Amino acid sequence: MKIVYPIILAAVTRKKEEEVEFSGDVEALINFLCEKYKGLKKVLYNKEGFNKFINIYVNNEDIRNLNGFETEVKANDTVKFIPAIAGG
Amino acid sequence: MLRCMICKKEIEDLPSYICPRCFGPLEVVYDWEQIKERVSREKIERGVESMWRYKDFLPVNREPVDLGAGFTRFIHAKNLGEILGLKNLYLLDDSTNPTYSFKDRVVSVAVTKALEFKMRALGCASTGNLAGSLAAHAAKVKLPTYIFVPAGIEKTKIVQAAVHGANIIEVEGSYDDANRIAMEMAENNPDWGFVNINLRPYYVEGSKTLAYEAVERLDWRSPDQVILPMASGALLTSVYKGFQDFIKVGLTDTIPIFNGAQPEGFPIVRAVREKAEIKPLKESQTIVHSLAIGNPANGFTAKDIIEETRGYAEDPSDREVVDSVLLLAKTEGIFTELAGGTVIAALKRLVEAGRIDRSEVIVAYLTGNGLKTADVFLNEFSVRKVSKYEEVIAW
Ligand SMILES: Cc1ncc(COP(=O)(O)O)c(C=O)c1O
Ligand SMILES: [Zn+2]
Repeated sequence: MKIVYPIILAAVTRKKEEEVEFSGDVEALINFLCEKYKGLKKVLYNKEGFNKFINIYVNNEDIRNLNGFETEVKANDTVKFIPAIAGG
Repeated sequence: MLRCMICKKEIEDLPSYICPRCFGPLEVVYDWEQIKERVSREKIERGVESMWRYKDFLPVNREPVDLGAGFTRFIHAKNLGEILGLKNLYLLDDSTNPTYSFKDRVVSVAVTKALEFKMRALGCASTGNLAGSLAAHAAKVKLPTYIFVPAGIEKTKIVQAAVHGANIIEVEGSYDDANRIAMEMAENNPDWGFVNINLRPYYVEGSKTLAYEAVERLDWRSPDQVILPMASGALLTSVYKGFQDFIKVGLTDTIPIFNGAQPEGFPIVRAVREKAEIKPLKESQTIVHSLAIGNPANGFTAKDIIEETRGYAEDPSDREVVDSVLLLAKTEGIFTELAGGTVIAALKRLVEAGRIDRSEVIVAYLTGNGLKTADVFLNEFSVRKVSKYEEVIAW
């Protein structure tokens, strides 16, 4: 599965995109990535939970329009982290 | 300098819109002591007749790219007021801006910043009005422009952008899909100025002038209430900041009650009414394309402002919007875009619900020109055809 990071997260992951082998839901995927990259958790989460200024897209669909963090992701999917503050 | 609205981290003046620490929105920081020294009523009154009479309050360090936006008509709407039961209803009418919507105010600042940052191209995601405005300003500064619009927006709006030479990319899906693609473009092309993405902190500042103008036109007093259209919520948020700015420098002393208007079912109004979190809307049906943003970036700030000032938000139906455009046109001689119809329809609801007193001073913001959405009215009237004078008198 392909993961795409915005520039700000790329400062932590040192890459803008990558292929990972994973299947499970979005929540598990995030845990998996936070294991892989120390420092990622600190950006993705704050006191109130998952950072509301980051939107997650699975195959270009906002997970809030899918099953949220329980959205299942699999081999050929693309998961993108995109900043929320833009447009209008 | 820019500062994160959430964690307050400060970063230098750059084409950047999100905090590198917490992803929160960035805003421009000003030196208010210095501005207070520099400004006065008299100085502003002697200034140019455009939004740039308030240059001291805008974040630019060079000669602005000014097509003449702002300082538009400010009207005491006695006829409409009489019908609605309001003695002091004022309309700030931005339909006469250079490209016929309020977007010229924000674009003027953003494009000036793009020149400061020596950007190679310009871009945006647009529900229509921004497209026309950006394309015109880009033509003036001779920069190539890439505009992402949702499929199905008014052809008249794309034509406007196209005649100025913009590259227009229609995105299958909604505005939010167009916005997502524009963001990915901005991420991968840091030397392109996407006015409502990587230039967003500067861009939004332009709308503050809508607050300044209302105060100046009301003889240096704030109105009791304002009502504004909302798509992303950026406009309402900036107008609020505008009143705050004028308080900081002593040019007015109160913040009005803020009311917001969206098409039926849209998320900011729903969240205000239900006292809940903003929940993005995926599919929408409305004819008010200019306000059809399902995932509003500034929804949370707009909602906070409405709640804090004890205002309210309304989401009239498309029919109410059309009727309100007609009512305004027939009482005040102003043909407004559907966003303006949404504002008047929402205002009517607020008055009926007893949220506005008869003698309060209220400013309703009309943000676009009716000819942009004239299509909607083609079925609202009929014309008679004749070939001879006799037929006219017979009728
Ligand atoms: C005519 C008009 N009015 C109001 C708005 C609302 O702007 P905002 O997204 O800042 O809430 C728009 C946005 O495109 C618009 O075109
Ligand atoms: Zn921050």
